Amino acid sequence: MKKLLLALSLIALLAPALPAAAAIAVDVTQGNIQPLPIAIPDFLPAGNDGGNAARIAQVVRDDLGRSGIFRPLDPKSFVDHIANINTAPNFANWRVINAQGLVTGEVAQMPDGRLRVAFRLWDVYGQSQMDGQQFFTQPQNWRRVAHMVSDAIYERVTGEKGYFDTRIVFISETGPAQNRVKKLAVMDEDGANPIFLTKGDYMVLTPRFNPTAQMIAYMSYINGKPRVYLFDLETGKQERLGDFPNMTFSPRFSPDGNRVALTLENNGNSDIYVMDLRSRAVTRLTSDPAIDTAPSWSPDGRQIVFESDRGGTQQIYVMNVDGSGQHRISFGAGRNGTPVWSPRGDLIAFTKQDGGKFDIGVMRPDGSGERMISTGSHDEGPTWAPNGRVLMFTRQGRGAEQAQIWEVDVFGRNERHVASPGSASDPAWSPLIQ
Amino acid sequence: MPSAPSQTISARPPLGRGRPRPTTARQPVLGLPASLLLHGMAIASIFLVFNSSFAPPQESHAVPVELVTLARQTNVEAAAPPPDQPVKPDLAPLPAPPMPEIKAEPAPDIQPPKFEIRKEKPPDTRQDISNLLNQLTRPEKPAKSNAPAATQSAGPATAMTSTLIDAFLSQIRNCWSPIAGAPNPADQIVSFDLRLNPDGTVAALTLLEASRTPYGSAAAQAGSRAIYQCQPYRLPPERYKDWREINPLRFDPRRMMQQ
Repeated sequence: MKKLLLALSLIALLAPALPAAAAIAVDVTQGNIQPLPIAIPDFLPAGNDGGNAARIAQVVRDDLGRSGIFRPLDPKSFVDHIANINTAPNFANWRVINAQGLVTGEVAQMPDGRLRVAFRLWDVYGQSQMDGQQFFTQPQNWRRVAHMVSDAIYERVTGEKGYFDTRIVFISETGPAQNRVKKLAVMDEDGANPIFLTKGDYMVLTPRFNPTAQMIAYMSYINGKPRVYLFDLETGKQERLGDFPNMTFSPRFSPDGNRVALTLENNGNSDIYVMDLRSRAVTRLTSDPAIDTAPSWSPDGRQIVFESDRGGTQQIYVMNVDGSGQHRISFGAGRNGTPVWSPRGDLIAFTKQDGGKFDIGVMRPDGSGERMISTGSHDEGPTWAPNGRVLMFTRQGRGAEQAQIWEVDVFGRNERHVASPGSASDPAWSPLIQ
Repeated sequence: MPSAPSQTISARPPLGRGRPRPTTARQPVLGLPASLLLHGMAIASIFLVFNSSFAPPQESHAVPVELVTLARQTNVEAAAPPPDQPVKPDLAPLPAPPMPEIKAEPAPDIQPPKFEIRKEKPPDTRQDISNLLNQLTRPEKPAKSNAPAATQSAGPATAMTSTLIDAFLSQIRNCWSPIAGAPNPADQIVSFDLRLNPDGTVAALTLLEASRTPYGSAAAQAGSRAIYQCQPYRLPPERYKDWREINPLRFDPRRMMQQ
């Protein structure tokens, strides 16, 4: 035995000098992008779960399926069932149905009335646990916990933060085309829990979340005058932003939430201003005689992208946050507007109007790499998911058809209609809710 | 290199003689240290790389979920009453309770790669190791640990090799579904050392390289899924010695992401 150990230690010492066995080197550069088949059995109810175990699993299946990155398998195809989430599953039974991922979970009611939701994510072929977490919450928040489970799974598999525990603020439209009633509304990312925030007795436009998703800036025609207002979701309070003599519109919060960039119209000339929400001090950023509007902040808060027709047609420009260094970045075909900087900073989404069509595109902040990602004929007004991978936008139907909210990923894949109550437009995605 | 199995059979002495085998004796002697070396390095690399990339997830992770609710009271009258919204005055984050029952769980976090010596391992190990020891202690053997020639050779880039590579690629390609979208696509490049059994199934898989980012970890998982899902690999059995190890097996999604 000693001899063996000695030999082994010598081998270890001399190892690098020995020629290794021949191996072939392979570079895989082409793949087959497919949604990940994932099995998500109903979570196990531990004691009185109030029916939440099955409901939570269904929301997770729906979330992941909607992302286009996963393909949740039909529970009817399962040949095994999970009896205990604290033991390793029988992986062979999940390979039979070609599941590559498996999510097991448990929902229990705690003595203090709270819900405990635990889940594990398994790599079926690698036979290992990829993630395991638990959440505690009041039972009425079961949907949010389900979204958090989805976000955790999404993040572990993609390396990106999820976006399921988010909300959308949008304009709900009802009534005939000549007399449209537009209400400010919010809903969860999956269309659940829609709530109207205004009654619809005055027009509302361009709602935007602040970085904490607690406040919404929007433009409204209260008293017939178009002005920017702030709506506090926590208190329900609404206030007019600033005391400007003329029309203000197109508000957008800075990434730190302390400032709002907006457009102020004065005798037919629109320019971009920034208001500090604490001091209410206002700074003018553009002073061009053309129309400058639709400001959007870079995620580091140092630059602002906006649209302007100073060059003759509507195009996209970038400037520093003090107004210096204004330069055009869009040089593609047609007119380009409504720029929105990705929360990740790498891309700017915009609406291109060309040949009678409106489409959503993305380009890098220097204007390079422009590509179109939506396929409708009247798509406009993009808004980013907080992870910078997915966009929502308004799709206008032909003729009298209703406006709808659609989403698509940044590569132009997985385009789909977003559920909303009735006709909906002008979506703005919240940050991940904290 | 002569075909080892046929020689082994023809050169085997009659039973009972106890003579050492003349021509194939060196083969296992060289093969074993190399095998041990590679396994040693593989195990070391697991502890260095795999361990961190596939570290057991944080399990005592409670997330405050009771923060945002709509107030019942607003000065703007809602057209439709909000559906029974929870009002939560307590905005303090929930304490992070431990998850002991999950920690105590015996379920494996990551399956230790299978390092059993393959079936065709040389017989009479002890004698081979003694031989090896003798060889290794010979003075003329270079004992420098930083000899440059120690890296894995990719093998001669012959047409034969490229045929093998093509055969392997044509299979793994269908199973590999990289996740698009890292800000720095190089973060998604990962490489493995893959050992295969003669029947084309995975004998052992070791992660060699992955970026220390969530994208690297996700890319390593995607590569591992592809490798396991695609087995058994259909490769010419007579050339097993050429494809028993694929190293490095590198996944690089950059070209795909440009499309």
